[in-house]
Amino acid sequence: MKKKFLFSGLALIVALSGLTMVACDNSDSTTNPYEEYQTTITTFKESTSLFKNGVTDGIESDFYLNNFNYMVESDGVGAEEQTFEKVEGSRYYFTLTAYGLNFIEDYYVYLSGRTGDDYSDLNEKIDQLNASYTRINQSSMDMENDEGISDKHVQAYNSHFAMYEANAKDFINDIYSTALSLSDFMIEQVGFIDSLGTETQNDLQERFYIDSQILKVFDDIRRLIIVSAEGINYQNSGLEIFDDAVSSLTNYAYLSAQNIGDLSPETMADVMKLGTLVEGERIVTRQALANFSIYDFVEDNMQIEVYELENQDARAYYIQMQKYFSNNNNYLTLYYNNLSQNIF
Amino acid sequence: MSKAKASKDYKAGGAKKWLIAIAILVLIAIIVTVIVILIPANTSDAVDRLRQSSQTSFLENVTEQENYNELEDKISSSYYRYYVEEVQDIRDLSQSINEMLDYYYEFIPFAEDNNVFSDNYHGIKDNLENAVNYQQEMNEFVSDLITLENDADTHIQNLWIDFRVAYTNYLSSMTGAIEALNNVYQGCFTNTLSNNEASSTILNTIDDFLYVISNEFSNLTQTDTKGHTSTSNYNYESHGKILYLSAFIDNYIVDDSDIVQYNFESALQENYTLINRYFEFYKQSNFRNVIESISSDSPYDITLTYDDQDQEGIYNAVKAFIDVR
Repeated sequence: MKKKFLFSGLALIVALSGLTMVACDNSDSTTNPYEEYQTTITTFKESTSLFKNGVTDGIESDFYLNNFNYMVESDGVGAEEQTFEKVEGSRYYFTLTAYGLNFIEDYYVYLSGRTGDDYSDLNEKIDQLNASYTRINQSSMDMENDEGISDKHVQAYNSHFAMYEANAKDFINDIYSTALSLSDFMIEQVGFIDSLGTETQNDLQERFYIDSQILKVFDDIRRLIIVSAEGINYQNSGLEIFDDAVSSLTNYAYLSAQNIGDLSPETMADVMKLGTLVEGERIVTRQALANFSIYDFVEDNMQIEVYELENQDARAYYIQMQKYFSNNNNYLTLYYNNLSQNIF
Repeated sequence: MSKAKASKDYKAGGAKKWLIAIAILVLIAIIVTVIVILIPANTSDAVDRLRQSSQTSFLENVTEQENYNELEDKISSSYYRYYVEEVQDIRDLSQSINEMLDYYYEFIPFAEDNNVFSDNYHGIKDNLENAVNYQQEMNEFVSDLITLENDADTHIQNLWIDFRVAYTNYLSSMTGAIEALNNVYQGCFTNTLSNNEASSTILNTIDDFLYVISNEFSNLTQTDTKGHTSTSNYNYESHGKILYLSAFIDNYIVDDSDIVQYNFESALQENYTLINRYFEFYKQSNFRNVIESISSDSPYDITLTYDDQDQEGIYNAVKAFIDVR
């Protein structure tokens, strides 16, 4: 009898736990997030402390980061007292932010009127994006509040910039998480590019496909320079792979601003076939990025033999990253050349 | 009456027990077999083994290189100085093998852990482990040779022949390992830029080179015997092939432009398509007959010819592909 009570009790606990887990699942799969995306974009555009209209690496955007600068001492010759000047933060922050948000702005509109899809991932990502927006928006306002006192309080100004930069990284990570989720949704659930490579393909599908390919390239570079290199000051790193990745970012940014040519279905099919191979190589590279800490590598004075002592396959990971981002004829450059010759 | 009945019951119980015991044994055998088949190979062991081999294979470290140089000096000043070309070629061949191990090591940590990897797991791991054992034997013979107190030429010859036997076994193991690594490369990197017609053609050709050269060393160990002072038994023919292999690896692996750029260059795609026409046109499954025909005499030309109507220039493309000296 005792045993029967025990087993019944256990079964009840398991059942209740399962029900609780189901109840606590916050992902909303049935609500189309179109209106939330619309509100988000509108809010972003109205945030004049965080964003302004500008051009970065050829990309025009309403999402050009505002007040994203720090103070350095000016080289005033013969000056009797110290003067300081503002220097903009690294260009890749502006470019990554602008491109990612432009993509979301351009394509969320196609969520309008849809029903019956699984929106759980989209809903989760837009919530995360709005949360990180709140933090970065506060940072940019803090920078604004420092105006007028920065000459005398450079340290405070730059500490605010450090916070702004840290929040910018999180914000960019969430931008790309959201944009890629939207891109996947468009492809897998909307079937947006199903007719690409056939006689019924249209300009919008072509544009979307290329934009999503460039989005993925930008995401690759984000994973290198923002995620893998967390804690590294890019300007002082001396890392060739950094410089090459940022150069690629600039090249692809300028490319994205060009008009697409008149593409035949055969050309589009070839482009998509190549895109599939790039995706395969991307998956391998992401494994390398996930297993290689640029921070630790720099701490080991960029000596791979030293880093190998704590990460035994570091050499293989770094070689793959170089093949993708940095070697002569690295894959990102080869893909860029192919797109610029065949698409634009 | 009850005693007879008891005796009959006792005999029937004994047979039943044997049947039960056999059934249990069969069941255990089935379970063990199923477990062995279903439990996947721990492919990370293969990665670990390859990592170690790429760092420690023959003539990777300075001590081995110095000892081998000393061996070469000793042989070159002996009656058996005609072995020197072979000694030098083994150095070049070992470097070629090391470059291949390095190349595969760059990829194997990322290989998809699928059936192809499992199927080739033992081919990689066991062959590399066997190679380690043969390498140890080789180093012992090298050490014995360079520390010979009695420098009689026959002793030098004997030790060199012993070394050659060990090296031939090492070469055979490495050939098996590299072939298995090639299978993993081609089967575990689906839809990537790095795995394409150029890479498969190049890596398969390297397998062909190693197969042919390994066979020739095997033949040499069976013909070149101890105690013979004439060269009549010494039919070393691999110099040209080892030269070709070294140049081939430099041209296609150390400089991997063809592999990297294949998907972006239509001229490369056309060339490799033409090269691969060879198999259908000449009813071959590999390039071994072409490699076997490399002359053992300078200038070490490819001697295989065809009487055919090869209007497309297929065989010329193959020869240009293989001979990149």
